[in-house]
Amino acid sequence: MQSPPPFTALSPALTPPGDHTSASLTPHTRELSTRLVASIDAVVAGHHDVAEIAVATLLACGNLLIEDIPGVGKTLLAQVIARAVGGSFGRIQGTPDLLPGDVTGSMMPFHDANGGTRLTFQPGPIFANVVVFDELNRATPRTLSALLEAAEEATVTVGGNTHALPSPFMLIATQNPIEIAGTYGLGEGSLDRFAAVVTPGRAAPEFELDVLTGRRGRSMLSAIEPITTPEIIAAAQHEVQRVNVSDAIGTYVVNLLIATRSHPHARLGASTRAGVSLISLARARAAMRGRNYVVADDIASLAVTSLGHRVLVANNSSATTAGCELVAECVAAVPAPTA
Amino acid sequence: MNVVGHRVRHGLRPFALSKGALAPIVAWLVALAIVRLTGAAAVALLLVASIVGFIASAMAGWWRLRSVDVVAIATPGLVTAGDNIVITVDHNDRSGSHVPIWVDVLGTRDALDLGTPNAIEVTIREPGVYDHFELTVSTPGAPALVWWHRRFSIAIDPIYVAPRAAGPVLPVDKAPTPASGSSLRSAGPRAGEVDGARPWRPGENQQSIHWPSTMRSSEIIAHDHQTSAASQWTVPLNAAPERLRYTIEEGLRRGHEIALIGALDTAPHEGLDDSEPIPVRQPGDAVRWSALAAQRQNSGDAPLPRGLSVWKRQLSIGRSPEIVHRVGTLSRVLTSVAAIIAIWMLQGALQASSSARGLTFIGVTIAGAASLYYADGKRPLWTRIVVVALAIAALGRITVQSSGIGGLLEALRGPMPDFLILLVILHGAEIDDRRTNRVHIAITGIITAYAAGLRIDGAVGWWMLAWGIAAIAALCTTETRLPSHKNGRWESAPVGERPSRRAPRVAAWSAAGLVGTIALAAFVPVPDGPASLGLPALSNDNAIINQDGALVGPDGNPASPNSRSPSRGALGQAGGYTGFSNTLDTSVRGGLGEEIVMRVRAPEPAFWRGQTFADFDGRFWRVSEDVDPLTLKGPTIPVPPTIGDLPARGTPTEEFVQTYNAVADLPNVIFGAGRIETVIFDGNVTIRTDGALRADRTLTAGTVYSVVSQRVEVTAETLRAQRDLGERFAPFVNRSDIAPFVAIPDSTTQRTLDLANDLSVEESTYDTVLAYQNWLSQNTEYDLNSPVPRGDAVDDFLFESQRGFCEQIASSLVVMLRSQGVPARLATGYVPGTRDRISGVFEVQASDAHAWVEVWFPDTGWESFDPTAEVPLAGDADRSTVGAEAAGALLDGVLAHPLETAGALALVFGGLGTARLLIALRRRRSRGPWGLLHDRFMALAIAAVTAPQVALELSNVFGRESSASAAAHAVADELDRVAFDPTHLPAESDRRRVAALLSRVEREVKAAHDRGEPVGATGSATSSSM
Repeated sequence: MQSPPPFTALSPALTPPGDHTSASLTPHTRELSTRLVASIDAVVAGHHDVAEIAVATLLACGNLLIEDIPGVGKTLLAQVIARAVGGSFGRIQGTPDLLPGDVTGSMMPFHDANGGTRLTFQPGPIFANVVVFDELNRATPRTLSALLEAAEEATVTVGGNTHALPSPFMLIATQNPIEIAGTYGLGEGSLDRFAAVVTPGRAAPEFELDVLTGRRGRSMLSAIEPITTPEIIAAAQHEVQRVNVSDAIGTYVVNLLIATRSHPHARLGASTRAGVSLISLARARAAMRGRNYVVADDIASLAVTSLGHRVLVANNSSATTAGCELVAECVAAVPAPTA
Repeated sequence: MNVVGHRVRHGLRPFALSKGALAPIVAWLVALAIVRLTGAAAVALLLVASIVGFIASAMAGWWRLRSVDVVAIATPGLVTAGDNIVITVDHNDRSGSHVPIWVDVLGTRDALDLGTPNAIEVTIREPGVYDHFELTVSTPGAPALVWWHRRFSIAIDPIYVAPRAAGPVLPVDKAPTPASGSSLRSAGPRAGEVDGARPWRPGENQQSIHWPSTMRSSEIIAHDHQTSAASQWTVPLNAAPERLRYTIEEGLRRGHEIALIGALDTAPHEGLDDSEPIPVRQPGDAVRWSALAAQRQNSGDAPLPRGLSVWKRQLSIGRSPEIVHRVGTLSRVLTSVAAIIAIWMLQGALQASSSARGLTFIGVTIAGAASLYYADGKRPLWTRIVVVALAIAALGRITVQSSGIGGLLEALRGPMPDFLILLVILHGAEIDDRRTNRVHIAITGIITAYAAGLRIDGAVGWWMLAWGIAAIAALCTTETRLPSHKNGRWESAPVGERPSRRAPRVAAWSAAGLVGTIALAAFVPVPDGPASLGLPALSNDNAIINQDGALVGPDGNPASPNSRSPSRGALGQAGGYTGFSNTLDTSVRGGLGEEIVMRVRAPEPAFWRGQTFADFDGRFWRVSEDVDPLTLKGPTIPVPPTIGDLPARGTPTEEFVQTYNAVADLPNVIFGAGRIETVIFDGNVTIRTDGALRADRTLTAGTVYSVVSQRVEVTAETLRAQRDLGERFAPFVNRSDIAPFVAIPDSTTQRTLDLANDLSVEESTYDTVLAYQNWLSQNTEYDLNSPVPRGDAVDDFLFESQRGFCEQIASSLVVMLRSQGVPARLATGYVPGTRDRISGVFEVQASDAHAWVEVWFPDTGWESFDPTAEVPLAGDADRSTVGAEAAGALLDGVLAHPLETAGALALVFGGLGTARLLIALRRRRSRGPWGLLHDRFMALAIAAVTAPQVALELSNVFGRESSASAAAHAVADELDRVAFDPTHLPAESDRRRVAALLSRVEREVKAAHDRGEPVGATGSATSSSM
């Protein structure tokens, strides 16, 4: 597998926002995202859809939750994204004894040159461009809330000082929904902070063969070269926010949200934050396809990923699959806007 | 998920009747009785039309299902018996019909959402391994009377249906885990350690509950304690399946290694040695193995339940599979319309007032509204009480009125139909399900048939048509697309416009029904008249004449038998005619109008004879003085034969029943055709020796009486065979009873006698009559304004004026025949009139009053001859069929009113076309040109939500590299760009380009459809993710 050349060649175009129109940039965003997806595909076999959603989440400044059974490449997916983006990479393993300070960092005594000792902030693993949090639901709620607040606000406050997280910042968390013994389930509020939840599932046999024979998989991780820089990603994120969203699309999203709330099986429908997040993802998807406008298909195809985990289904204890089905029903029922 | 493999499609067969479907058949039998009783051709036509309707209704389900195929089903793989599982049935029904198709898997009947794969919840009760599904697809079609189904046997990847796990743990062989084994958990947890969670079991200590999991999953979760150190359990396979499952799951939960030992016929892993223990690691394997165990257990005592067949066992014809019983509003309203039409039709026959009709309308409307209002909820008790009270009150009124014998007859005429109508209206309020609705429609059918049997006006055909349309529409709207989603309130909104071909289909069915009706009716002869049991008779008590046998005009003034001038007052009325007085002046015709004076229901045309005259003095015909009139009391009056009436023994005769309905006031002359045997008249009738019948009251408008006659089946041959009557009667001419019929007036001129002699044919009086008629038609002219004759009327007509009307023509013929010694007389009455071909009723106008000749043939009796009216001989008349008559009436109507017909058709089709055009225009305006393109594009893939999904679906079908796929994607991109890109302003050229691309895609899709490929069949499940 030949890794593509670094994306820096295109960086001259990525001047600060305002100097150019969005139409001139989106082709570059498209190129960037295509390469990112290609590098993920090169490692994680058979999950092109998931790779696209992961890149869209990155461009939409969102956080991603990968929810699946063990051994389908959750962590690998997170790692390859981190590597391809080329920024700093942090990794945290969720355990019940993990403390908030282990995530955010804490004040540590520091011996300075004068021989004195003072407390200095020691940044935790969350101070990275891409943070992989494995086994999210095994961390205690206390730790989780610290993590998610940091992820949401992009800042960490320790000892009265506020420290900004690096930009771009993306949290990729994984969790195993099957084995729930000794876990702390994520509340609705926690889940709501994730822009997208993906369930890659098992890959098709031919891809599995690729992994077993080493043509893809973890062995290829080292072959991935960073193809971009955090600066380019940040600029691309900025551009994605400039993608046009027409009123018809906004109304469509509102109708979808209303449909999830009025569905007979819904105990709790999708929140407004869910709608905002869906629009952001749709913008990213539009930019990835070289468009500077969001179309109904962006919304329809992302709605399940973006809203499924934010909907509570009555009389159903299983985590997110029922919510996904409910959202899929709503997408089938709400008429899409047309010309 | 499993995907389909081999598929067996069985034939279509009917299997059940809907509830209430027998009611129309019962109604049909009742109508058959009515046609036997009344002999109404209209009812016969109704019967035939309903047979065609029944056949069409019965075949509707077949028609609907004939092309429906189950394309694929998808099922889960591991299932617990008794749990609800969801399978997806994909079918190819794209007909756009609004009639749902029901699918039955394992006894779970569910309607398929039309045009989309349908998720159906099923429950498999019997554990085992299933490798194919038996699926039954059924529908009754639009009229929802006969259910058809088609069975599909579809092979699937095996579904393992395990029994529900049940303890206790099987006696297992517990061994410590071998140190060198494959287990990674050799250093397993120790006893007493918390090792996970499991559902809480009743009776357990509360301390064991794991609260976080419990809060999360809304069921009580308990800690699972490790009870013993990990070891290997060897579980025997030949155990109770539910315990086997429990043991495996329990063992896995506790962290043991499980190995199964024993033999199974069908193992999921082929080629395993029986003696070798099979390791089990996943909970799913517990399901799989216990399902296999159950399968083997079942196969031991019963045939292998490989296929899930429910219908095989539960099949029973006649058991309604309907699960929706609600009547839709449209259907209910149409039923009310049918009821109103039927009752109004009956009220028209009973001459009900307009206020009664208004009450009917209000009653049916209120009943319909009430039944709709209470359709869902339980109806309150007071409505039932009101219904019962009304019925009892009406019945009480009848009971009081019919206390006497006379009152009973009155009741049968008046209040009884009212009571029936009331009952029908009240029944309308009781309609709360489809069965009652169908029964109600059938009841309106009976009323319609009854009314059609009674009605004698020409509008009966239109009434029946209106009722038929309403009734069929009510039936056909019973089973329509389910109005709401399964969950009730929440309903999916329609996406775009789907093509519907309903209008052409309805038109095609209607045309086929019409053709079928006429074709079938072509084999049904016109009914030959009512059975004497039900002959109607009705008369007016106020018009009684005190003098038996006296003749009175329609105005009630008696005419003196010896008066030389007839009652002029009588002539001024519609029923007035000089032929219905004691004296007939051959020079007076009177101004007879076009008014309808009576309607006669009879199977064939005939002369409706009122009087006969024997005495002629050259200008006046006179009724002979009757010395001994016989007066008999009604209603059933046997009429003794009079002179010349008895045919020779062995002559074939037929019963000829006529019912006369007086429309205008008529004199008290009872009409009849041929030799009258019985008169059914509500009063007394005097029978004169000359055969004429006179009632004891004038026959005012509305009077009905029936006459049963014997008609000799006379043909030209039988008449010719009687040879020359002059010779045969020669020995008897001096007898007093025969002499009047051969006497010629004194004023008869020699040239008249010469003409008669010259024209007479040797050996055959029949041919002589024909020769006379021939001469008359060639040498004289029919003229209502002929001059009053001078001297002998016959001579004047034959040789001087040679112009005259029927009285003069007939008089001349009588005199000429009598000169040859042939007994003949003059008869007056009416010609048959024009026949309404639908109701089979002859409409007799005042101007149809007529005089003709009757000749006494000794073997066959009096035979009518007339040079002017074309009435065939009784034996030559060919009875037509209902279908020929109906088709003729239709054709005549169209030919007689070509402009009106074309106008009406243009109006109907123009109206429909305009409506469609308006809808299309409105849509065009609201959707815009791009919106229309979008709708066309979306119609290519039914389940797709957005244009790119359609494109994706098409490229899946045609291949990603195909030109059609590229065109579809280009169309989708442009549609989206126009819709959502604010900077993009599409030009007309863009629209044309996209339209051209879209047309190409549509052509490709159509071609694929023609090849039988399921384009647009599957949903865009692949595009729902990113």
